[in-house]
Amino acid sequence: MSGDGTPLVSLEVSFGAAPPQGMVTPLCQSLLELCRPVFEDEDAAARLRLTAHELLENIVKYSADSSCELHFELRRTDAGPLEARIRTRNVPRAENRPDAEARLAALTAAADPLEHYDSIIADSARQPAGSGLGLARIHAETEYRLSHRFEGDALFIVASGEVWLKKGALP
Amino acid sequence: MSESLELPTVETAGFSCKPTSDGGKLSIIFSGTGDVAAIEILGKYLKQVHAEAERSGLTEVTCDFRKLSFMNSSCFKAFVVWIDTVKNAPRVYQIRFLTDPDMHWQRRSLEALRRLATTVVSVEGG
Repeated sequence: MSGDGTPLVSLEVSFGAAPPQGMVTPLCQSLLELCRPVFEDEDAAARLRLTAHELLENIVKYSADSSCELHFELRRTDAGPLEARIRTRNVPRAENRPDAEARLAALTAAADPLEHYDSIIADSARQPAGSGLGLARIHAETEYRLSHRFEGDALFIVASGEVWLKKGALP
Repeated sequence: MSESLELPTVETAGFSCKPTSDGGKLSIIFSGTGDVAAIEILGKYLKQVHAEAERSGLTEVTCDFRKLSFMNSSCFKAFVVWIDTVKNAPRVYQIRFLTDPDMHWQRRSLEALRRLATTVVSVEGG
């Protein structure tokens, strides 16, 4: 997948601080409605919505009090499908950083996302919070690829997956 | 709702749980969006469901998701905790999920719940 050049669609939402929880559902619902008319199937829109929702809720739950953003884009690829990509940037609270790093590393290293997901689910039953269930859910249920990096204190998470557009939906 | 059922309907902005009972079976219709506003209510509600199932000796609880448009991972986790509780209870009852095949997330998420307890959970309609 090349992912180079100008995206077909790009949307960025920036926040001066972690957004209020009440904004997550309307924002992700808007993204769903934005993509629904052009995606070939409803399932692709549902997977995108789930990905955006879980990433944005993580920002709400675990951000220090500093700016953060959610960036969405659709790009052409060398192959047939388009690439849908969601990138978030936030500064996790210092006490959450080691846990976030460990969970993200385990997630991206997992050979079988479904097996890893089942294991996280089983563990989460007796864990009060911060089980990494949302990220594992993205990985296993949407088949989006996840990657992450830290730049200083800022955590960037990128989720990307293939989508097909309706014929003639975009120029 | 039958007179013997001690489980209320709960509603918050954009989310509701409405129970009905028929003999030894309890059905709950979940509606709206299970997001952060629903987490606390849902967690408490599922504890009440379990208490009611034990009190009444229920054999089956049906969770009707056909009007539930989305559920976040925290609400999903509330079901994980409930299913784990039932799986390890002295008297196990069945949990049956009814799904809308057009809501694609339901099939994937509920299949994961079924894998958690294959002898307890069944998923229909996906």
